[in-house]
Amino acid sequence: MTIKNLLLFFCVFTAISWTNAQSGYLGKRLIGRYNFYGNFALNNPTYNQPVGLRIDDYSDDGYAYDYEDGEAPSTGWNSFHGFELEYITSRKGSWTFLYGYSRTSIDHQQRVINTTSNNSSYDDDDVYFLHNPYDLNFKLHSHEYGIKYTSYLTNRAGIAPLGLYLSYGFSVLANSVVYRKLVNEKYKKDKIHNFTSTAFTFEIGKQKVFFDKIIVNIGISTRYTFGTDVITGIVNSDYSVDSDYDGDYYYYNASADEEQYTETARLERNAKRRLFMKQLFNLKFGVGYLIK
Amino acid sequence: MMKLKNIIYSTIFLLVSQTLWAQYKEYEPLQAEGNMPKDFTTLSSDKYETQKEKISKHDSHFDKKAKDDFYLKSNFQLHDLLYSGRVLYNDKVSTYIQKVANVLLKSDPTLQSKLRFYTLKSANVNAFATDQGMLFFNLGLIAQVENEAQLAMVISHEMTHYTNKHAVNRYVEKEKISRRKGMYRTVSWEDRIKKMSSYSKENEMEADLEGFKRYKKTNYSYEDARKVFDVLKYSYLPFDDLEFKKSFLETKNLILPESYVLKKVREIGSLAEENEDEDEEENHTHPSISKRIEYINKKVKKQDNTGRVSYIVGEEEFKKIQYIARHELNSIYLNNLQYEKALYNAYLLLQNDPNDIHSQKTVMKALYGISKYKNADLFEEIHGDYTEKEGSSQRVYFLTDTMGANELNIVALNYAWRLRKKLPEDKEVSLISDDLMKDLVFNHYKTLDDFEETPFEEKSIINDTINQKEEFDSLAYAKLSKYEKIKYKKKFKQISQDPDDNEYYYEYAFVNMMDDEFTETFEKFLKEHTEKENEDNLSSSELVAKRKREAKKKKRVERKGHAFGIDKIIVVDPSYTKVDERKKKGSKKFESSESAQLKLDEMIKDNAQRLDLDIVVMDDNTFKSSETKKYNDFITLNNWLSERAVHLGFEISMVNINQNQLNSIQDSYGTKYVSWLGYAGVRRKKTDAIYYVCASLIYPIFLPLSIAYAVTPEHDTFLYFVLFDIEKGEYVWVYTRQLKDRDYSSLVKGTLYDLLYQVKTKQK
Repeated sequence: MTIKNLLLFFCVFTAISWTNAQSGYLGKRLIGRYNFYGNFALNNPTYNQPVGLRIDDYSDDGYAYDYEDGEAPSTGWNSFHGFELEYITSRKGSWTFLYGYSRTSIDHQQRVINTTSNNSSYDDDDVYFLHNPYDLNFKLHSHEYGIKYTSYLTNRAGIAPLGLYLSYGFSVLANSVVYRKLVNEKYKKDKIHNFTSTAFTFEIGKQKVFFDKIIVNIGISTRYTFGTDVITGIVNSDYSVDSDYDGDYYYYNASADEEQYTETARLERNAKRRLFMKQLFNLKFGVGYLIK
Repeated sequence: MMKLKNIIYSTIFLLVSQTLWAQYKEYEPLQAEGNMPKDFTTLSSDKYETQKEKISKHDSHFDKKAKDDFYLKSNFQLHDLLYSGRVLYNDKVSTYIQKVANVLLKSDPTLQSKLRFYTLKSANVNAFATDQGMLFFNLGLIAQVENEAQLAMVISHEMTHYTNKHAVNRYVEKEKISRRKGMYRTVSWEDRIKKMSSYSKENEMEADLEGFKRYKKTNYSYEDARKVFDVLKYSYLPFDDLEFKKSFLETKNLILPESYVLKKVREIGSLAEENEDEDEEENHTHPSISKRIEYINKKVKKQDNTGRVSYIVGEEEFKKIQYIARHELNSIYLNNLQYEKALYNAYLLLQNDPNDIHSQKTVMKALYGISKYKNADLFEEIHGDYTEKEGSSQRVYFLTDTMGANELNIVALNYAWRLRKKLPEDKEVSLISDDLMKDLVFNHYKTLDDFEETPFEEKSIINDTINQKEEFDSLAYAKLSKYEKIKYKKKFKQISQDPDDNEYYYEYAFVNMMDDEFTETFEKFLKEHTEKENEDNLSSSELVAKRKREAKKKKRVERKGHAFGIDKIIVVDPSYTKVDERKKKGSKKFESSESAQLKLDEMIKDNAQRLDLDIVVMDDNTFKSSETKKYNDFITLNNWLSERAVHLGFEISMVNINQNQLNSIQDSYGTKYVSWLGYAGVRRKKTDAIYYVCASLIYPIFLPLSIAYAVTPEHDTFLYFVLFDIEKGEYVWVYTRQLKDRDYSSLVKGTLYDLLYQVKTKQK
């Protein structure tokens, strides 16, 4: 369902319900809202900044990055933006359709194959990983489409859309990994991989209305993106750099249940891991308008 | 010829109907009249600002501050009093008081122009003056003073309180004493308490003295100036002391046992004497009456009473006003749930006029109230302990205490049913007698077979407790005033006869009363009771299904809200209180409460408009001078709601005891729905903040957050909304909430809209 269709659905739906006096804030039940989500990037790159304070970790593994002048570990804000249409269905609850867009860099170590020997075949020694956190060449773009139910807590205002609330929802994320390279002082972008993810969303926050029209919202938003897990997400280590590679597949943890994956899968794995971390915990600030 | 006959018949009919009308004409309740005085229509904040400007620049800083505080508090508290539903203006009593005051102020037109006289619907024998020039006189006082001159002495006393600014000076002095300022710096706590009370006493003595000086300038009797202190001395007693005869509640067939009559009533004054022994007089705010009598006696003795009179305005007018005041006590006692007092007050009035419908109905309502609380096993909530009463009224308390719930129910129904036959058109009587019948069925009897249809053998129903052998002249006694009676009675011992009691006397209560209407009403409630019992005696599966249905309904209501489908409501006395509990000196924020209330008023109207809900707001801050009718309705509704709220608190369902008044309000506003609505925003110190700060010392990264948490206050918003159906006398919806949030504007607006939405919206 496109955004256009969603809007159309709301207009028809709300027009039907407005025949009588209704619940909601002073009878207004439809809210359009812009949301800003942000988290403090301690351990991850942002769109324009390299991996946060963790860069030093690389100094012991043989692929350490040598800082150049002016380069130092730093932190930043990972943010993304969203738009919502919330429709109050009862005194205590509402349904929301949401759209969000986010972008970030992926901490992906580019595989380099040494082909100087001009051999068609190569062994492990010919493969190495180029790690330059300041390159930021791999970007992840995500478009999120979701639906959520918001329950307004009774010991606060308890009347939708006022006061403390909890939201639970489900989202689908359309993701693309873009490889960006500086060519002739201009960035050249190649969409190199697309994949979709699903996420469970949970939000807690507080909402307040000003001038009977403007609705302001602050809260904490969490999204649990499926396809990776908390440990992998948090540890954020690219196992591939220690794995065996046969030209087509990486073999990880060979001594136990052998796991094999391609270079693309490795990229997707890293992208998902990045996505997971970006969405896991965010502060939310929203400004909306009570439409009708 | 035919025409002449017709004229004669018409004349006879007119005369007969007029006589009947006169006989059954009910007492008209006292109401405010004319335009609303400025005291009622000016905002308290404006009154406060005006008075504040009058604080002298030469006062010390402390005095200025104390006076400012006094004017702030007193103006807002007075406003609450003015709109308590107990104050009347330009009514017959206030107008009369003004006339008497004019006699006193003949030579002082300046003072005359400064004073305003109001009637206070209170049974206490009291009057008081405010610093703003408002003088309040309780109906209890008017009911008890013996004549106009005695009232004049009280008025003159109160005028002195005003002219000498006793209220504000007392406040400033109290502040100095409690804060150990000036000469009180080194005084002990006990001495400070004594000083506080002695200062008040000095004021009272000063008011007596200067009041008497003003009184002397008139032609009022000196003797009455002295006698008024007797009135004050025995003010805790009813306005008269006549023996309460049980025959008052009896019929030929309903004869109460003699054991229900208290053999000997407590001597008048004995309790006061005991209490005087116990209390330390020096800590009282008022000097003892005996001291005041002694003091005034000295003054009066020197004066020649020749040619001095008890009435200047007129005796007839005084008697008329006293008649009103004494009848008003009936309603006051009923409203205050002091049913025993109401019963005895009405009994006294009926001794003078046995056809007094208002008092007969008061007896019925009082018995009804007592029976309801006795049936609910909550009798102690409304009962006055008879051992702590004195005088003839003690017998009323003893009787109600002794009777069982079923007996009281029967006696009340007997009385109400007889009145019903007398006043078949009276809705109040029908409703109350019906409800008493319902109680009889639901609580006590399931068949009329439990009651006898033939009379019990004739017994003497006359049981005078005054012993005739001791030559007690009861006829002469009845003519005496209350105080003369007290003295006269002390000479005689009361001896009651041993009764020939019939334990089941009440089974004969309805002999000759069980006509078709009676039995049909009984059967109707029996059927209702059987249906209710069937509903209660469900099988376990039915019970589970019922509970499920109820739970589902509750959930639906929580989610969707109620849908009462009401088009018009009256909101009585909407209130908004802002409280800051962190403040040491009085937590109510008067000025911000007032402005919040004005905003609330607007919000109510705005939301009602949005919802197309017709709404009448009776807000004490927005009355206009021409809205006296609305003010009278406000009083009726507010008093009724207060009474209902008490019953509601005890979970007692009572029909309206003033249904006729409510019916007229319903007709004039076109709705039977009345609501009470209020908000309170409370700000308080966080009690757990210290734990967070301590915890953050371990993890200092959280310290800024903990400090921020600690220094910001905690907020709560309370709201209540009670919706009543005045026709049925039942509440439709009671909604109370505590919101753990600040009472910001959108929260109030949002919750208010939600409430009114539920009132307006119809079930789909």
